[in-house]
Amino acid sequence: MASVKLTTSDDKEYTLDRELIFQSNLIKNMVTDLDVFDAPIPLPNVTSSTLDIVIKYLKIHKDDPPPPDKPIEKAVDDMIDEDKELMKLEFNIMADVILAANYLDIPGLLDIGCRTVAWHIKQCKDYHEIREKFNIPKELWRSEEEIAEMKKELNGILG
Amino acid sequence: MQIDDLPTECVIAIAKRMSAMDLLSFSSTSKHFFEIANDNSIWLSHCKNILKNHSPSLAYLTRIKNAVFKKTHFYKSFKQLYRLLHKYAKFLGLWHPDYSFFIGGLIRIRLNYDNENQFVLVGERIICPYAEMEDIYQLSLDERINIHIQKDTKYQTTKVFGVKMKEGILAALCLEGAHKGTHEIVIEQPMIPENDLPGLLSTISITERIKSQSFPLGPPNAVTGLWGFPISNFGSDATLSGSNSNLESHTTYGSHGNELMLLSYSLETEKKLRVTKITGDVNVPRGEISFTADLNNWKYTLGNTLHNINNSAEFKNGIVFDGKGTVAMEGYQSATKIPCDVIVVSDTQFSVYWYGLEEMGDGWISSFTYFEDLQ
Repeated sequence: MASVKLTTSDDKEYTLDRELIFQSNLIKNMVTDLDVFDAPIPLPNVTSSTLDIVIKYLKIHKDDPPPPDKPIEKAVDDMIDEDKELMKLEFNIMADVILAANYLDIPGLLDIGCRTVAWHIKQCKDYHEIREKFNIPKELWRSEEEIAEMKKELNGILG
Repeated sequence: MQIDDLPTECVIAIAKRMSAMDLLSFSSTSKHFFEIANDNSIWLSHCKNILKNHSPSLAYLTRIKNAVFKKTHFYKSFKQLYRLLHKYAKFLGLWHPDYSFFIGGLIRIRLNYDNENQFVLVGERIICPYAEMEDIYQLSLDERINIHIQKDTKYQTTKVFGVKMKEGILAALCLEGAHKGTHEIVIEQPMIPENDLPGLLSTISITERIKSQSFPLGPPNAVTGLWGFPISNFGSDATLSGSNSNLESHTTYGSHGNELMLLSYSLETEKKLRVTKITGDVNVPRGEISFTADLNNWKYTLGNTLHNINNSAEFKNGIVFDGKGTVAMEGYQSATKIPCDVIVVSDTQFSVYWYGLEEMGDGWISSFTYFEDLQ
């Protein structure tokens, strides 16, 4: 079976089966369009620890049929157990995984990553808790007046 | 890396998976997230989600948005459209009213606006007109077979009620016909503690008087958009003719005239077409299966059938499947299944030949829309 070589940002080289890594649309297009086989593909945005998680995901889903085009689901409950287990990550690692999924164009991984983050936000009881949970630096906070104003506006939308 | 270091497109992807309420908390956290939470594509996604029973396309939603915008100069973004849909989308669709068992019928609820640019929920009863004799042409191929074929019959709608949407709490329900007059209904707004925003959903409760008449009961089925049919486990996601909206057909039934049917089919587990009655007649009431067809293999093309109707051009490409049809005495007594041939004539037309009755019925497939008059 043909394989593809990848180099992560911390200079680790991976050799992966084409079938496995072709779930990434980026790599698939690169290999098929540019016909690169032997030269390793550099991934400047992806560290080896992130790529390990991505590969775990690819292995779980290697036999999946191509995803249907349907409205975005919100529920974490619908995720398969392996995915839930895989997504038990620190938020900073989660951000790396989402970034890698976006960069490598793996829609399924991006979806479960985003769903998990959205779920964590849902668990927070207010925005103070979200700030704390996601470590949002104080200089980026919005003032209480701005928040009150926006609440009024959203109240209009939801009311 | 932290969540707020993510590029905008990733944060948008996360925001699309949050509820509108969570989006509020989320956008309160930072300036960056606030700007993202106003992104049109997020609200488009929310609009799509809230209407997912109706499988709206982007073009379709944009059409609604533009139509609404043109008319009112107010709902200019998908966020504003969401404001509208959030309140009313749960009422849209096809509902099963509380009509008597043997008649049945459908009420379609859709959004419209009146001449004062106020939004109204309009409820219309969908009926199939009875076939006039001159509309039927007979193909008497065999002495024993009556073929009822009706050309270009369309369903008709009669307005049953309109609900005026006013800012605030009260709205008026105007029933047409026998219950003509204005009745008050209440859009209930739960009390909201000042710093606690969840639970803003408004609900419509209807006064007892109206509830006992012909207002739809309960929410419609998520898959079919219909109320209370015994078909909830029967998915209709798979497509037969490339369309996956709610499919209804009207079918001629000999002496009973036209009736409304629900077509559901699955091509994944058991390849079967199931046709359930929406309107009923004195023999087979609403909600019962009219006929089923085994889609696993077709018996023959019509070119060499015993019906010998290949002379007719419209049956030339027909494919015949084995079917089972329900017949019963008056009052759904001694109901039995008799063999029938289900002939798929085209994407939108089928015929059923009932062996025991020696009768042929015709059906057309149509799908209903909920915004058509907004343009």
